[in-house]
Amino acid sequence: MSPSEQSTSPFPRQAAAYRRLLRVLPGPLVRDHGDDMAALFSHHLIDAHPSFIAWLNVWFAALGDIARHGPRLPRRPVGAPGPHRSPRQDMTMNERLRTLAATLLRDAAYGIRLLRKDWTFTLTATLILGLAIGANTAVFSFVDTYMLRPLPYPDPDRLALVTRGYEDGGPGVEWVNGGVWEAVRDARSDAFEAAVYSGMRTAANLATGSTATTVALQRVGAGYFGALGVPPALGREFDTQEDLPDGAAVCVLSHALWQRLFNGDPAAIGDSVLLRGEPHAVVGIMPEGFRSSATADLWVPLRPTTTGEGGGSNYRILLRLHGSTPWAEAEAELGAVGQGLSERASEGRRVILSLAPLQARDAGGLRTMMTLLSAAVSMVLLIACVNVSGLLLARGNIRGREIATRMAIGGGRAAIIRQFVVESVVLAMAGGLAGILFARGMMRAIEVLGSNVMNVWRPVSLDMRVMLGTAAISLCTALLFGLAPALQASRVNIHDALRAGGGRGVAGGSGRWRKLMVIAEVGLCVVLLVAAGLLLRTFLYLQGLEPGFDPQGVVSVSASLQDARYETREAAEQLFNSGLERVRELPETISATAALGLPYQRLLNLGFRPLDFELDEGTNPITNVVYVSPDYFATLGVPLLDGRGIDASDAHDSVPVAVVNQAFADAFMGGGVAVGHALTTAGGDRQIIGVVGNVKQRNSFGSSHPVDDTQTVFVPVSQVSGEFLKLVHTWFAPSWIVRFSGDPRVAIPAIERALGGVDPLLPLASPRLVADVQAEAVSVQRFLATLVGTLAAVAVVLAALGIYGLVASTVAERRREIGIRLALGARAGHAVSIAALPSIRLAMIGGVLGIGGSLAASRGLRAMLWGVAPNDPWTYAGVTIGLVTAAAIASLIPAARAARVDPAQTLRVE
Amino acid sequence: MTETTMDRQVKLSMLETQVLMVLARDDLHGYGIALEIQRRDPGGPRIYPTNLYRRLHDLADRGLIANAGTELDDKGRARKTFALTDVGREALSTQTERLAGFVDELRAAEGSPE
Repeated sequence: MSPSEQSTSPFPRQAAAYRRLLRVLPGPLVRDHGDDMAALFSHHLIDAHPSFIAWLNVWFAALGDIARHGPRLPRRPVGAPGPHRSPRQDMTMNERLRTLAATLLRDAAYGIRLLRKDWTFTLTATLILGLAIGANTAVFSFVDTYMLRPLPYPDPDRLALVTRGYEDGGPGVEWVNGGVWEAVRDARSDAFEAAVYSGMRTAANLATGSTATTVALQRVGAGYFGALGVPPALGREFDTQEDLPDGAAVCVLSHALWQRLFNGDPAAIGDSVLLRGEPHAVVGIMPEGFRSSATADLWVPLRPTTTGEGGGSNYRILLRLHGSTPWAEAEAELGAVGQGLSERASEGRRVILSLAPLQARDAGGLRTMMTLLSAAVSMVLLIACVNVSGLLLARGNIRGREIATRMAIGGGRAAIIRQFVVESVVLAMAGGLAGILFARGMMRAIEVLGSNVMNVWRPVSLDMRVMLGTAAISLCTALLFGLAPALQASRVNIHDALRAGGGRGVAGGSGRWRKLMVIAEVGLCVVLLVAAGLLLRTFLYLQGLEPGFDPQGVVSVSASLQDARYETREAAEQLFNSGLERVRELPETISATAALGLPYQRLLNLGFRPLDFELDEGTNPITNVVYVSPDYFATLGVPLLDGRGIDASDAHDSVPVAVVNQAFADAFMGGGVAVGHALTTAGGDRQIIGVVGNVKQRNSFGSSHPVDDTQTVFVPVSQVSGEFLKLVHTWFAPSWIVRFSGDPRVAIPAIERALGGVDPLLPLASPRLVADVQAEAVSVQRFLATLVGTLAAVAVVLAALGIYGLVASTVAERRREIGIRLALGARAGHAVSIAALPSIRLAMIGGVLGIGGSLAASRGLRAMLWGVAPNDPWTYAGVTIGLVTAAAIASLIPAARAARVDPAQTLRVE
Repeated sequence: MTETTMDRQVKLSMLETQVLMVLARDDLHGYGIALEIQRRDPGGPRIYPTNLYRRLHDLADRGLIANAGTELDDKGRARKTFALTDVGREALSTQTERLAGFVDELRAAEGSPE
């Protein structure tokens, strides 16, 4: 038997494939014996030929052979040097860890020394990382507080809200009517404990001695605090008797209000406060820091009914699941309650009752916003990573000689990579520390900007959890920006690097990284800018909508009439009128009125019934209803389109009238003549006497458009019942509205004085310009546009600087080539284009990729956009052209500088 | 030779025993060893390369075989060959005795009446 048996394999391609496969085995073995191994494999193939099964068998067995025995092969030639165990292998785990720690510390110390030497680089990188990590930390702290942390109640995961949906409808809402509450209550389930409450917080008047203040009031049913799991610290909560429609007047105070009113005296229990003009006995004090579903100063019984307030969906039902009741069981029981309701109800649609975790619902409004902000700050972080990566890459090029020396004296590639990664981690930690400093400021900024937008009630702070989050972000960042330069730098060509005396030496591949970085920076920037652009256009669109009235010089002052003294129509009307008389005496007053709602506010929704006109099939007879005093339309400057407005002749005993707006006529009367028709709403049959122009209102039914022309019916305050007033005043505070000549701000103190004298025990909200109410209606959009816009601006600056840096270092390396071209007679313009064009081209590629990314990302924005399409071509074109121009400028500056250089000097350098 | 090294060296698998047997006649490279084993035991399992070299590594580490040098094949390629060491030869004879005893026992079991 001789080796010559093995001739050229009859299966050369399979043998070659097997030979390639062998590369996974240790190098020395394959080098010495690879051919023999392939020959043996070929031998088996020949042996198996021509059976397909046998052939398959050989391949499987060969793969299994490599997989099974390969990992156990030592990495040294067979036999030769004997099995020396390296000292490292004999170390215990503990020793190994200690050695590793020592190595890393040494690397870190070396890295810090280098970073200190190159402090401009260090400072720049730390600032860039600090800004990005800071923004991420700030947003994360909000996300953590509102979305990740459990609610501050015992066993918060057992708390749920009842949601109501319809068989054919979308997701359920957590607002239910009194009928649903009674059905849930009467089910007396063993699976859960239920309590009803009003999710709304209203302002109420609280009189102590001779002064009046406004307090935030929430109405909750009996057992609410028990269901939350937080009993009063002193006293008790409401009992079921007090929670009946004519139950005793009682209240529970917050810890803060108790301190303010009673100086923390426990004797407060049993004492009483004058709330809404009526004495209420204090029955309980909540613990310090307690907060219900709203931030309230005190609580009174809800007294749920099935008529009036309870006739509409104005309640929420809180559930606490008992013991270990599975979620599904409670859900099934609720389903059965819903079933019962559907059978009793006359309406055809089946009601579906379900459960939603309280935490998810609590953060509901914030969730989309937080997701958007998280996405935006992550992008800024990515851009910052690319930037710092670019800086490190350029530095790696300069350090070519140092790296080559280290490798020449035996430092392995792994050691070089480790050194670079450790330096990145050191840098990221510095960035993280800077980030924590920045985060503090940014969190305040978000809180201030978002105070109207977010229900900021849980203290958001930089604590250990957030710090750990920051540390994690920083570490990920370090790997993101540090790995590419580390891999790149370790690919140094020792000979070239040492000979070249510094500068160059890193193999040509760094060009590829640089190209990718320019593309990435531009692409990410486009995505962020497009988002910011779309949000900004939404804001401008909403801001620019024709308001339908003249806000110039109009001031409003509101007061809560949730007050026992103003429960009759006469009392309320008297109050409005005496206030109006006083205001009209002011010299600056042009006209004045009073009304339940203001433009750009959310209004009362009420059903109505047409008396002598037909509604289209499927039209939902629901409208905004506002009671007004005479001169309402004149004071606000709302144009009268047909008929007449509401005036002093519309008294209590004259024919009940109503004025509708154009949107109402359009929606329910096909745009035809409305005057002369009649409808029933706000407690009576009414004659429509006029049609007015549309005024923008915050929307509350129908569409989800933030501000819109919604159907509205105006009725005289003189023609509504005391019952109606009492009901609507539990939700809305009416306002006096005054139009002034000249600067209304000057008149504000005068109006405050004038109205303050009407009822010393009636606290008034501070006067506001109606223009401010208008601004508030689009505050969400302003908040998002400002925040995302700021982030996008930061991103653009970072990207421009990054591109500048990348191009500058490319140009620096091509100086010699440019010099030669210039020396050979190339024009300077040509030299500039040679240097700048490639990166401009890359920026364009990045722009195109960014547009693709934006098209995908803007789909997530859809719900936040108004008056602009998610794929709005103007925004996309504007952003891309702007960014590519910025990139072009960032590229041209270093290129032009290179072209100005004296060619002779450039050539002489080496 | 201490007892432990003795134990280590004497615990030989079937394939390892076969390798030692082949090398007892002549120095040979890995491919040749495999072919020769299969020639002697045509019905035996196929010998796959990685397994074979893992055993060769192992035998060399235990001092039973050693590198013998290089041999040029008909295409002029250098192939590394292996040779049995004295320790290996000793181990092989111990193994032969063990196997012989084993075979005797098998025969006795086969021949014994039910």
